Amino acid sequence: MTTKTFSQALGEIGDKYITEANEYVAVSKKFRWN
Amino acid sequence: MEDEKIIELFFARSEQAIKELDTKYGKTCHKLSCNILHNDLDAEECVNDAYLGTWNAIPPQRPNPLLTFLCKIVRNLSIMRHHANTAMKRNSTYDVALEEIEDCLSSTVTIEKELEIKELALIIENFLDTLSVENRVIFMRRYWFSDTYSDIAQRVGLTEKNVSVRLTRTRKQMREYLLERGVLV
Repeated sequence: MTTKTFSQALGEIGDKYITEANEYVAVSKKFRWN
Repeated sequence: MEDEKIIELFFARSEQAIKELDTKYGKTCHKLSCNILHNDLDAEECVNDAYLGTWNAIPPQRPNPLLTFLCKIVRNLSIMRHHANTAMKRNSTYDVALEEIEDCLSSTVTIEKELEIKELALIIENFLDTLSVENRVIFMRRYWFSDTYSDIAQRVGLTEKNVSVRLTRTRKQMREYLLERGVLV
C-alpha cells in the first residue's frame, strides 16, 4: 500500500474521528487554562 | 458566535458568514493547511477556497459540527494543492508524517487487486476503534491533521517523548492489524 492510498483512505473515514480529535484538544486546552 | 448562528448567516446569504467563519476557525484551518503545504500563501488560498466551498455547500447542507466539515474541505484542497506543487520540496509535516508511517505500510508482495479506498477506510476505522481515546486522538492529530509531535504534546498535555512512544506503538499495532486482515502481505 502506498502512503498516498493510506492518506486517501484516511480522508474517507467517518466524521466522528475528526470531531473527536478536534473536541479532545479543545477540552484539553480549556482544562489547562483553568 | 455559535455554529448555528453562522450557518443561519450562510442560509441568509450574508457575507458576514465568511467573516464569522474566519474569526472562529480561520487559525485552525490555516494551521491544518500549512501542516500539509508548508507555505503560508498556498495555505491562505486553500483556506479561502474552502470558505468558498462552504458558501456553495450551505445551503442546502447544514453541517454539524461545522468545524469537522470545514477541516475536511481544507485537508482535501490542501492535499490536492500539495500534489499539484510537484516542484515543491518535500518538507511539510504532511510528508514527514507519511514517510514515518511508510515502513508500517510497505510490503514486498504486490497485491494485484488494490483495496477500494472506502473499504480501506472502514478497516482503518475499525482499527481506530480498538485504540484508547487518547491514543486515537494522537494518531488522528498526527496522520489526519499532520500536526508535529511538539504540537500534539502541547495539545494533549503530554511530553514529545511520550507522544513519540505512543505513535511508534500505535503504528506497530496498525501494521499487525492490517497484516491479520490481509491488507498487507
